[in-house]
Amino acid sequence: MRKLLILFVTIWLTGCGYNDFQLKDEQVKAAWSEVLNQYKRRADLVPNLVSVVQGYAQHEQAVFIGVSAARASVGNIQATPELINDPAAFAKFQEAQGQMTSALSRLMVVVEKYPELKADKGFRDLQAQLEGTENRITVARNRYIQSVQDYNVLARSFPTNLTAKMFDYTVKPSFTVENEKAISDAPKVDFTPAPAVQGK
Amino acid sequence: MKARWWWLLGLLFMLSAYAEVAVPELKQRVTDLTATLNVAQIQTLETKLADFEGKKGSQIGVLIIPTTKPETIEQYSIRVVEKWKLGRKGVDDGVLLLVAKNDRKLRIEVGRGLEGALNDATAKRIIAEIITPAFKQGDFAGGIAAGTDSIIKVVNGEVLPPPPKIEHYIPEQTPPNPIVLIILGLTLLAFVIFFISQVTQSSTPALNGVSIGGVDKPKQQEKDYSKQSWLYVLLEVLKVVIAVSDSRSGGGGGGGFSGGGSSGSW
Repeated sequence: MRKLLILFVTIWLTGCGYNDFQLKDEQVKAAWSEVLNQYKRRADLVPNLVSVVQGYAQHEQAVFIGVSAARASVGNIQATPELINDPAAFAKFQEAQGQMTSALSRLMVVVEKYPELKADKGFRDLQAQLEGTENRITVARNRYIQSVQDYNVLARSFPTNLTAKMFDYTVKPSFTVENEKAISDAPKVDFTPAPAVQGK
Repeated sequence: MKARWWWLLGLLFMLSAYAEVAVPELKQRVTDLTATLNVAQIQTLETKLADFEGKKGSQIGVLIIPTTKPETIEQYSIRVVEKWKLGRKGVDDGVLLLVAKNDRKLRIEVGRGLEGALNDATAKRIIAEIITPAFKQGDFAGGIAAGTDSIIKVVNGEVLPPPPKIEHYIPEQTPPNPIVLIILGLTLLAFVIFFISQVTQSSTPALNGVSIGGVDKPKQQEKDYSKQSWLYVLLEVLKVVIAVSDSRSGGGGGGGFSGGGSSGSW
């Protein structure tokens, strides 16, 4: 009698987790859309930023080429919500965005050499927007990591993993520490133009 | 064995040394943990912000702390607004002015709904042109007063839904979760059944219920035990239900933030 009771209560309280999966799946999707949204916002900022910097620093061709190459590779990836169900495409997307981050920080290093540019009002506003967007990306990424963690714990732990198997809910990819490191590494300032890109 | 305990204790100390700065409770609009502002200055700011909130509906919070280390000011700031939830739910019109005095850093964290008016560039200008010049002179009260003034001016230029008649500082009453109601109902029902069974049992000779002998009445004892576990389970369920219905209380109005705003140093 007692065992039956405990079993009943366990099922009652934890359930099979089906509804939890629906909820957490939607949360992951929403968090991912926000990540895409903020990355898009950054990509939209790039042309303005480049044109302002170019006005003061025409000779920094290598850096501009780096930025526009990064922007092109980011634009080549279909940034769709379905990306989170394809780990390979997800990794590629991350790599492209990481390149964008380092190309932009290289650009900002170059800016340090031009005091008039740094004093330009238009540039300062753009710089503030870039800083704000980078921070929004960080926040969106952290929230995505958190939501994926919640989802994956549900997909792996007993007894909800049985539900996950039954309905084919697989573990979702997240941002990993390795590419976090690649992104936060200080960019190498290299003024020799990249031949592969120049041939274009 | 003992050495292991010492090791554990040492680990605990190490952990506490690396711990993040705790986010204070939201008790009022101006929170100063560094004793930089005097009571009158805090009162003036508080009245100004409360006044603005009454007229416009937006919530502005000011927090002054010694340091955010080991986190950056951006990381700490987003944790504060995630806990405080400044601004109205759905309108997301909250703003936080955070000053980390010993780090010589400050940040304006802007709610999602105000990112149009108080955009990153505007926030940066308020920091660079209005607040930090005063901070450089050591005039913290003046810098914060002028900074909140310009935030108010910017937000006033934005069209927002009018504030509700009553203080929306109190979180609005949401209808209770149906699942919670069902569980509550079932629990009550179970209690009633339990007590009825108790009453019907006590109508049998009293000695049966209270087992004095204990040893010679094992069956009766077992029954008592199962009754107690019933009660225990029910109490636990009730605790869970109470916890669930309690968890939605927050300090601010429920506004959302996504990391917009700007930081600066002096």
